[in-house]
Amino acid sequence: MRRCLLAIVLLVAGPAVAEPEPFPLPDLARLFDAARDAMGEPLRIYSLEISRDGDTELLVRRNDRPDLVDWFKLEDGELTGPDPVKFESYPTLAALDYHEIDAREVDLAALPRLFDAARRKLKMPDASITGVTLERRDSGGFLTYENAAIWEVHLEDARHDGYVQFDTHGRILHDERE
Amino acid sequence: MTSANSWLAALLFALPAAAGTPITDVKAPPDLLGDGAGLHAALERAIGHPVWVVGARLDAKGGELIVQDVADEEIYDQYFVVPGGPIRGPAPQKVGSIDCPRNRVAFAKLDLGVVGGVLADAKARAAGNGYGEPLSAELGADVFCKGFGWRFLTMGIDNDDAMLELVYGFDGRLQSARSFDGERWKKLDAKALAAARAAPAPKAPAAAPQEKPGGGAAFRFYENPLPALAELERFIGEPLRLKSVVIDEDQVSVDLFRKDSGRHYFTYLLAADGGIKLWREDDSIMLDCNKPFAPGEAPFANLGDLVARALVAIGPMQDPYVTSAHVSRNFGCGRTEVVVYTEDERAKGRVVFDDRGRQREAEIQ
Repeated sequence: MRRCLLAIVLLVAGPAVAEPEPFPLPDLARLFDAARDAMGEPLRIYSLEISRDGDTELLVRRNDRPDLVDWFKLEDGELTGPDPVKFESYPTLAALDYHEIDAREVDLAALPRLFDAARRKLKMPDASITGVTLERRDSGGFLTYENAAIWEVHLEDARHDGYVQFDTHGRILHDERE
Repeated sequence: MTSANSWLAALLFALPAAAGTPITDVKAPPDLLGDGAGLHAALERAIGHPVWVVGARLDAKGGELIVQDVADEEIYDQYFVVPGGPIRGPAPQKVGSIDCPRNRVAFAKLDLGVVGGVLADAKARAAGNGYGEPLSAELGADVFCKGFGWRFLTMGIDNDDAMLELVYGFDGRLQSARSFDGERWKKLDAKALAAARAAPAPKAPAAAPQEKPGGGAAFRFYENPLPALAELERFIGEPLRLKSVVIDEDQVSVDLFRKDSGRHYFTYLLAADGGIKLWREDDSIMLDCNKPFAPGEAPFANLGDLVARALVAIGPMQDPYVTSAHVSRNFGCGRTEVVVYTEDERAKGRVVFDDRGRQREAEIQ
């Protein structure tokens, strides 16, 4: 009787450790193409953010009004934008110049390699990717890189959270695991 | 209920927290609090290697233990126990989820036999002093990672602002007792606690709600909020001693001092249909301006004009609209000023007017 009940409980409880979730890397090329179609060349990235479920938000400067930033979104495969970005405090032209990333610097195809490199660096081989950002900023750590275009890859496994920062050539700038 | 059914019921009760956790072939004793040695031995077998204990919770119905591997201090696991049931674990815990990793006790030295005693003692002390019954013993530290031990925190029965905190050492002896009266913590004398002379003060009865239902009015606050302020003056029965007034299309929020209220101020909400209610009261903080002003000292009567001018002054914004207007004494607690806040689809802005309606600033934020 008890064994039977135990088996039922085991079935309800499921496996001991969840498999890492595959990261649903969105069709970024489609998103960037749409942004280029709307904004023209060059595509001037303000920031890119991919959530753990693959929803993506791309903020870009308008070529016709470089003082303004618009967003494009890719959610569940549906593409929307351009729409105005409303900042809490609007960046100045100088701040936008300082923040901008030329899309020609960005190798979207490199992302899977960055994910593998991040897992290796943090010694988290089974980690799930929980988010990715691309933004020009200062890197973390003792030795910092100022105003670099930085890919930041966030990971988690059963015991740790962490992130690794890369430059646009895939070089690791900083990493943290807790 | 048979013993098989009772442990199964307890196990199913614990499932939400322990879901996905493997089940060991080691059973906990049926009496978790009465057989501390048996529980310790069972956990030792289930865990199977030397560990530190960084956290635990235990009562008669079940409990859990969070342990750190002595051989690899980055490995934290959780184990679950129910009376007479198999021990579940290990459930991996994230390193970052451990609040106070330096607070730990060797599992081999942890006497689980004291838990029943400290839980009973804590229940007796809480009940004797008008506090709610602690349901389980928790091993941990305070928010500053101090006072690592078996801890109990319970609220006053007749005064839910009051709290009692009891901390016992690993030997089961009471180490500290203190109470919270809603504002600050105070050490309690163990003798007074034992003699049931440490009950919290009764809660002050809640003041009768100050509210006037709406109806019959249709105030247009942006055009002129003075009729609504006059209504508030009639409602409170004394001249308005204003601290600040925040006006939007549907509501006016008024902070005011009452006669002889000192730094204590009251916030009334005025609705466009004439409804008034006292929303909250509080003491002003350091650097707040405590010098009240009368409605006649601020350009309320010209607010419609100021709002219209603000929308022109903030011209670089595309199709701006007003989100609110704030009236108070200016920085330095001098004359009054009106700040009109605006937004468009991309940005926020503010336009500042002095008490005579002269524009002082206009900026897009």
